[in-house]
Amino acid sequence: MNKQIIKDELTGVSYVKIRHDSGLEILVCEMPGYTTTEAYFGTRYGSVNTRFKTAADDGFTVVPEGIAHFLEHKLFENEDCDVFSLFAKTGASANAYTSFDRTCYLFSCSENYKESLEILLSFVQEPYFTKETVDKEQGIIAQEIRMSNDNPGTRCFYNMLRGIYHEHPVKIDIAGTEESIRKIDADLLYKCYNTFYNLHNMVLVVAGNVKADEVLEIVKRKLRACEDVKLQTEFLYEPETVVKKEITEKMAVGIPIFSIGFKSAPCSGYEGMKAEIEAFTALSVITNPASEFCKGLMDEGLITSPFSNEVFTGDGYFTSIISGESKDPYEVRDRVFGEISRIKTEGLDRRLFENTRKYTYGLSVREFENPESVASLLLNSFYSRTGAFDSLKIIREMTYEDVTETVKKRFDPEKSVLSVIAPK
Amino acid sequence: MGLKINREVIADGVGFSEIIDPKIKTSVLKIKFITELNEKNAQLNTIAAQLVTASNSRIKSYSEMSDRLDALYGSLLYCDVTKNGDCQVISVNAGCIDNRFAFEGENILGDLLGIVHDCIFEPNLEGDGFDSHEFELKRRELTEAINSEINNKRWYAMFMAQKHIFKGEPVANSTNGTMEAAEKITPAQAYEVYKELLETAVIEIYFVSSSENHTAKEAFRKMFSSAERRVQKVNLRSVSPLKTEVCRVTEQVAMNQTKVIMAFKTKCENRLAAILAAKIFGGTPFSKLFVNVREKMSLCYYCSASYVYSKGTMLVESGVDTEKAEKLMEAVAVQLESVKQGDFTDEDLLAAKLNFANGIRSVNDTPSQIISWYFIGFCYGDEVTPEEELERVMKLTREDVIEAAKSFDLDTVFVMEANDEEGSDQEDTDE
Repeated sequence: MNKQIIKDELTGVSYVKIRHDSGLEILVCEMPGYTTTEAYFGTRYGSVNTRFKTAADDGFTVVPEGIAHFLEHKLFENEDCDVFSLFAKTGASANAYTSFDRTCYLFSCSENYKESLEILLSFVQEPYFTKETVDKEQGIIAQEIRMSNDNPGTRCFYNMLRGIYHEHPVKIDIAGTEESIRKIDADLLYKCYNTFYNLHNMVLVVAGNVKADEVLEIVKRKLRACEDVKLQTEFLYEPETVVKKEITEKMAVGIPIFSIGFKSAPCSGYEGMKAEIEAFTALSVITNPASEFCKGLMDEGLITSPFSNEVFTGDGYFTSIISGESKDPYEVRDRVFGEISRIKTEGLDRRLFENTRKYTYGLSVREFENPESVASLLLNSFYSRTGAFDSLKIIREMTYEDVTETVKKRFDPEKSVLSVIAPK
Repeated sequence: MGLKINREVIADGVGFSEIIDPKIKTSVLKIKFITELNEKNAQLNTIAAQLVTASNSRIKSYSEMSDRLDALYGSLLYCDVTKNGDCQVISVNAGCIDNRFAFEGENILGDLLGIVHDCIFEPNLEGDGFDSHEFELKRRELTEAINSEINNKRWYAMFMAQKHIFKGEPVANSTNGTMEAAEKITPAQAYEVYKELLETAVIEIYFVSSSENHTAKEAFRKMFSSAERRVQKVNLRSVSPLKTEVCRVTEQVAMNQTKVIMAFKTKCENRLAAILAAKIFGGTPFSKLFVNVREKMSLCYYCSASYVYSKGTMLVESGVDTEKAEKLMEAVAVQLESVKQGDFTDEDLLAAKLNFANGIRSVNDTPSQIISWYFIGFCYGDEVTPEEELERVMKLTREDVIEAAKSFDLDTVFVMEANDEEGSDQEDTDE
């Protein structure tokens, strides 16, 4: 068992990182003075992992869209009862989620964390699927998909991804479609479970009112050692170009909402985090309400509230996104292109850059505020293969030149997509 | 050293709670103006709150304000406007990271408090009203927000349902107001209403920081000592009367999934017992609605109940296929009846208590939760610590819960029906 203590001098926060003999990575942050304990048990298995093989397989298996999410739903039911009824006895608030690159099971509690941790570790290791339980779940998930399809923000986002990515499965809806989930059966669920829910592919994070030694003692009792199945996932070749530059859908919305996504080269690890922070800072400078550019858009009534920004990145994808609401998203898109072109020629405004760097740093410091945010930070460090304190270091060292270069490299209008949800 | 709380009345109708929590890394200030909710002033209060948090007499525009806040390491300054019973609560919120994290020893908190002071007491004026340019920007933002109310269908269904559930009561008014009214309001009207708010609102201020710092309290004491006050008392709890006949309304919206909202009203005074009854019925993932309507009947993704004490009303919400809406409503009624009949075990009751207790115990872990806790206590004239509340919850009996459950009667059924199987039309443009 390999154990490291990692400390950040600035915030005074430290955590323990353990590579357990079972293959599991364990991250524990003891936070004196807090009542809450937050725990995540996660696997590197998200909606993008539709093609995979293990050492025992001859070729790659291709599974229906939405199966990772379906599996998450089904793990909440074991042979004897619903898992929620087990957590009900400890008082913990339990939940789970599936995103593009992960499935996580979690609880938050203010008492009895050891009992809740035992439940968490047990139920994720005890799959139980039958035809009846799978059939029953189809109806629930179909309603979840319908609810999601009524959300214009979600539709706008997915349409944008479909415009950007030719082959990468990040373009598919996390929950799949009503049609794709009908192809899921118990055997397929077991196949996916046995491939991805392998401790060598998983992480346990606990933060807040917790003792690392107590966590390790529970882990020792509850974990079932497993062989590394030598998991391989693959993605089809993804060109640098986008599929469509413009996608519009009509829904019941008040005024049009839009997302502009800029596709650029994916990267991972520390370099990936650095690229992500630099792209986020670039987005924040470009769309800064203090800029002449944004003041102009607001004065003209093209936007009435600030843009929102996101860098959407993971295994094989990197997209910088500007979103908002506007009576004329097409004109806004053209103006954004104009501003990017100006920045490429004239450079970023230095004062805006410095203030934005401080803003980004402030956001990062806030992530150390409470058990929930710290647990989330530790979890993200596992998925991005970085250290939990790397972001603070990157922001402190980030230069004007780095971000100017990022605008040149990662904001190409030719590799962008405008997605619009317009009123019916 | 643990958490320390001290509330002091610093002026007529102005309470200041200073909360010191050494474990946190940020400071949070919330100034809550509580006033009667009415159609005439609600929209003006909302736009006034948005204006005073966007600029002031020294920082003359939203753009400049945004720049200043970024330079203060992404400090926050924003307002939120909510309903609490038949009252409107206008909250001016500020927050920043501790000075110890600054690159060059800047006084982040001091500068932010200075900005907040100017926003509240020296707003950005022009003639006898707010600055007209900033007012126009905020009016556009407000009209856009009104236009966009339909975007979030789950929220919109609840918003529309409340117009029927609380018909004729102040809470039925929207804090954003109507589009028609938004087009007519003026900077002078908004400023008049703001001055009235400063004079007449009940004001509760909360300041949470990691170390003892009386700067904020003393500054506000000084500011309010010279302010003319004629406080208007507010009633933060007004139980909504049960309609003589169940109100049933169906409206149609172009979407995929039908939304069902059911309102049940009570005169029950035992707040905690009513909350527990709602939890057993539909407030947890092991409640009757979740286990039966979602898991066993597979009718929906969500079907939950929550109790609004300020109005004595329990709201059930769900999303379902249109043709199954009736079946869902019947199932909800059956499950409520089972709680009324005491068809739950001692284990179920304990689970609901533990779930409740889990939330109560964690209150002290974040500044915003600490503030919410003590503000709710203030609103209901029942300021207890989380520990004291916990003791009360654990003492409740199954008879208390059954009695509370029995007091709920169906008042309104609102169905927002999906009238478009596809819900959307897509157009792709290749370039």
